[in-house]
Amino acid sequence: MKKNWIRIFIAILLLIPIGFLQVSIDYSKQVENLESNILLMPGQMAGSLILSGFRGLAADLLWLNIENYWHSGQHYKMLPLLDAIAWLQPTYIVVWAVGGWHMTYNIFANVRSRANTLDEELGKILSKLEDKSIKETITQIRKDIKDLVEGLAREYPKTEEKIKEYFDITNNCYKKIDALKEKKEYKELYEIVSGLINVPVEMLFWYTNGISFLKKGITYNKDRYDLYFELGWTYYHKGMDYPNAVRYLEKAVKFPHPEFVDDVLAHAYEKNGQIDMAIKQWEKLIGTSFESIAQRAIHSLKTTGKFTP
Amino acid sequence: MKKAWIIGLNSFKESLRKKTLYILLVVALIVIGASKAFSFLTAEEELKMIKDVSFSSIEFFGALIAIFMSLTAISSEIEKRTIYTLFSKPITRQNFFIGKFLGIILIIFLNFILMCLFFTGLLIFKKSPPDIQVFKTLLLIFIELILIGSITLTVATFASDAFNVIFSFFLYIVGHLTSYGNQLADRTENIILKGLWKILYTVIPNYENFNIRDKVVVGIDVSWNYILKTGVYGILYLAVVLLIGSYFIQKREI
Repeated sequence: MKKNWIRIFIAILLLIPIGFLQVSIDYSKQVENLESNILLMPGQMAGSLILSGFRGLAADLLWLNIENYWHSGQHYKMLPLLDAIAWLQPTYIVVWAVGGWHMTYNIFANVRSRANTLDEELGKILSKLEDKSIKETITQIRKDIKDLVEGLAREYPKTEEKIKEYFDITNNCYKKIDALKEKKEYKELYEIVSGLINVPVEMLFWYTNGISFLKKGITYNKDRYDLYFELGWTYYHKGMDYPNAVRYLEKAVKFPHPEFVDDVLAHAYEKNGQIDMAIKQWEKLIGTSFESIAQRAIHSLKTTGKFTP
Repeated sequence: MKKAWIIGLNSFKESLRKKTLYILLVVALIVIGASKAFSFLTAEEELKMIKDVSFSSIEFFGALIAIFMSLTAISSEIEKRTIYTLFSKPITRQNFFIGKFLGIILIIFLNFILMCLFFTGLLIFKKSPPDIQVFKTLLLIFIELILIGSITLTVATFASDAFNVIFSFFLYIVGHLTSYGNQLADRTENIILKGLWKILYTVIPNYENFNIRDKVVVGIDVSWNYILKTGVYGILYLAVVLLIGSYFIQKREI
């Protein structure tokens, strides 16, 4: 019987090295990014409890729903699911990249297409409108918003300062139609015009939301090039915000990355006015599959100071 | 040890006769095979889903097999009274307990290998043969399954089957959540609560240590150092569980 107690005694003693080992494992988890971080929100805690060790599987099921929504064009419904997957598997790069892309490109374009419908409806109402001063005001708003929407979809840069300017335009438009709000006979007109003004506001909302989503993704995936590149590309291509594009693409090339990242960075340097840096960046691509384009770019930059269209 | 091995082999053969085992195995293989249905996704997404579903199935169904096979390993011997025949021979209770444990390892290993082969075949079929990270993940799942089985076997030495099955499943869930509890404890200012939790954190098996699959499927490399530490953790914990089990089997009135 005495011998039997020794077993329990040894078992208890073994818990000491187990405790130390657990501390060491926890440390390794931190270093190797293997931790399952907790978000202290009641709903999410409950989710953690239910899912216990099967977060990946839950994320996959949600991803299948996202695919369905994507193919049926229900972009807005995808957003909470993207957030949920990002919470379940924050290191799943695809979710952040696709989420950011949906917001800055697809939903952005979706909102823009609404402007055409509203513009048509507004045209019909304007043709019947008798009050000349209101007609003039609304026509001006219509033109301003149309220019803004088209500009945002094409060449307008979306830097922080510029975004403020765009909001000034929409705020002014709102002020101009404020008087119509109280008048019953202009109720329909007011609703259509305010809907139209709302289009660029929403476009900018989704652009900035997509940027924030990608930035949030970076906080979970700091040691990989992927999301720095996605963000840099979004700033470069969609935002035409070249200083920020350069900033994030420079971060991307610090980590192991494919050659096209260097290529985009070279273009971004040029667009940002850093011609010397652009030439240096193209020189890095000599000897790679980008060699021929790099040589043309270097020649063009040295002779005309311009390569990217 | 030879006696324990003979008991283990017999226990393994007896487990092979149980229908539950085959039902669970077939369901697991169907679920793993069903992951191929995601072919409408991009290749990268599909591969992630195949790995997610397969790893989860191997672990979940492996855990079910480990619990159900360990559950009756001792009680069935008592019910059928075959234990009296065994103990009338020169076989100690420790031989019996260790033998049962070896039998459990064998049955878990057989099922685990079958599921892994099926999964590996699926990956090869998808032209993405398993890399070393996949093997690391499977290795840790296997250690976890052995631990789950041994805990159920140990509880079977002193508790009823009904209590054992509830306890084992409860521990399986709690074991995956202790890390969260620890993070919460780190935020509390109550020293007693903190201390109490730290003790619990050591005593309760941390199954989440063995869960690297969520990271591996998204391309995070897990070092051998981590695998080694977790492997040693599993072995030490196994030793604790077996020592407790051998204590209770010695004390049990048969």
